[in-house]
Amino acid sequence: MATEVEETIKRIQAHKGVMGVVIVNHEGIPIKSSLDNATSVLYAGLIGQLTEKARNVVREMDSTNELSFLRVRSRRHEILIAPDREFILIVIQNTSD
Amino acid sequence: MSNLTGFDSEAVGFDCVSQNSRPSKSSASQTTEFVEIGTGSQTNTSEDTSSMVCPEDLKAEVVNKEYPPPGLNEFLRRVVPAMMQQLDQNDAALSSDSSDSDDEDAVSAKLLQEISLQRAAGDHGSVLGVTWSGAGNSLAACVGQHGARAESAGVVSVYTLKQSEDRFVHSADLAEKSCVTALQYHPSLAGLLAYGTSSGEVVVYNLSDGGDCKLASADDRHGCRRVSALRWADAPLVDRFLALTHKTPRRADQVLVSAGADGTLDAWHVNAGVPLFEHIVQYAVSEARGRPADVTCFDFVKSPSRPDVFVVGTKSGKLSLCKVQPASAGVDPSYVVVQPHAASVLDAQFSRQETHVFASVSVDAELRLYDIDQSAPLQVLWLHAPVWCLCWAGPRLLLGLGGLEPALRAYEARAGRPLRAAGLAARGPVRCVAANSGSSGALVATGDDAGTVHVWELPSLVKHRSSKCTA
Repeated sequence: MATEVEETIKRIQAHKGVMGVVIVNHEGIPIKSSLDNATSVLYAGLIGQLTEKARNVVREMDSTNELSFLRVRSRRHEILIAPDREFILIVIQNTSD
Repeated sequence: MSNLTGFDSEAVGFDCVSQNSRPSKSSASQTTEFVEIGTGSQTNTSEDTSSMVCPEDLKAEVVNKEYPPPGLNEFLRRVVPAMMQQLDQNDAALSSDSSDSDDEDAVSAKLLQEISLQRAAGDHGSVLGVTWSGAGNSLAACVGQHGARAESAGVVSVYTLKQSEDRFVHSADLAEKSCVTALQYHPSLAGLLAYGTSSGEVVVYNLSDGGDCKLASADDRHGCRRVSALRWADAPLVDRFLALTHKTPRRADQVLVSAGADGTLDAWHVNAGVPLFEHIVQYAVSEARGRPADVTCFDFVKSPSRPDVFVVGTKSGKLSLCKVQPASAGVDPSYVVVQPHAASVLDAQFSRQETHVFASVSVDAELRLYDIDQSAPLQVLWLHAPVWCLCWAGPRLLLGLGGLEPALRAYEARAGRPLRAAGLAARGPVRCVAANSGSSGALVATGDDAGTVHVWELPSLVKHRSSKCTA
């Protein structure tokens, strides 16, 4: 079972431009990451808060709607966030030319 | 103090004490209530229990002793396809925005020939199947109505390349009492053609050397229901099947596998030279609660290391990975069910380049790529229209769509992006497609709802340089 997680991480990591993959649990703790510990904890904390805020925005605008995906694009890279009830999948992709 | 005597007064220093005795009155008071008013304070000891987690203390794997935590695999199966799609969108956006690259991947196809299979005015059949011979010098196609009844007659038309005219000419019609629903040339033996009918019959013809030796199964195969797909086994797989017969294999022994709408898969021992057409083993694929599956397609792995693995697609959208095994009677060969389509699977084929990867298409308008070692798809592409058929041409996928123009599209499979395909314009829904790949490109044949077969030449990928105006 653990190998499926590892294989999935490897598959995402193999995609062009992907710099890192972090999986965060509902407590905001990174449970699997391809980045170093410090960066993983930083992403987990900040992205967790951002995701919760985004989730609330979507729900406040329409209570029947729910957040399905979030992308944060910056000059250097893009953070792709796939949230769920129990986990969050975070992928950082280098998008600079 | 009124009862003090004179002596007492001296003792206590009172100046005036009366000597007259008088009746003393005594009074006493007893306080029965006590009230203490004051302020008290109590200090409770406080302890700050917040934790300061330093990154050095936090090892990701140690946090959760139970790893992976429950639900993680299901979560990844749900979200990873969407994540890959978003990553691919970024790739596409980057490559279109990039000012550095002038190259575009493109396919420049050339229509070689249009062949109408309608024999008489008023014929309204669709091309149900098309197949190339191994050398690419012969093409066979069958025409009929979708969902045709068993009593409808069928025909297989064979066309052979006439070198002098550089075109395919009609060489034979093979008539059947039932509609022909699937057909397949042997990939290497010239002239060995197999087809199946709507009544469950499986037929093998040896057309080599101008002959037409016919080998046929009994009428009651596949529950007298439609043969939905046929595959000739590669050499390692032939050995696996023939081992089940405990007979000594002979030269030119081949194995053909047929699948039926009743959920059965039959393996046949074929030798055109003898001639021989013998049943080896039957499997039965089932849905939930043991109901037989309506098998729509199947294909074997193209890897010599695991030739006995095959995928089966069904009308319910289920995709099962199966293995060849000895069977006494109707054993279900499936060992894992991958994440299914939402509707009927119309075609599934393994890649020859990435041998563990197969593509599947469905009425739900999705193209999916799977690896046999993973239950979740590698890629999911939504194509806005039902996809009737697919075939691999090298690393690229050719898809036949219904309800969209152009109806034939080329995709870079792993990247999941469409290729610009100049000249590859098919009119009307493409029901079947077959490719014969060579070193310089591929010959592609498509069959449509108008009963017409189109033959295309598809060279290898062409890099186009887009012209730029420079001041």
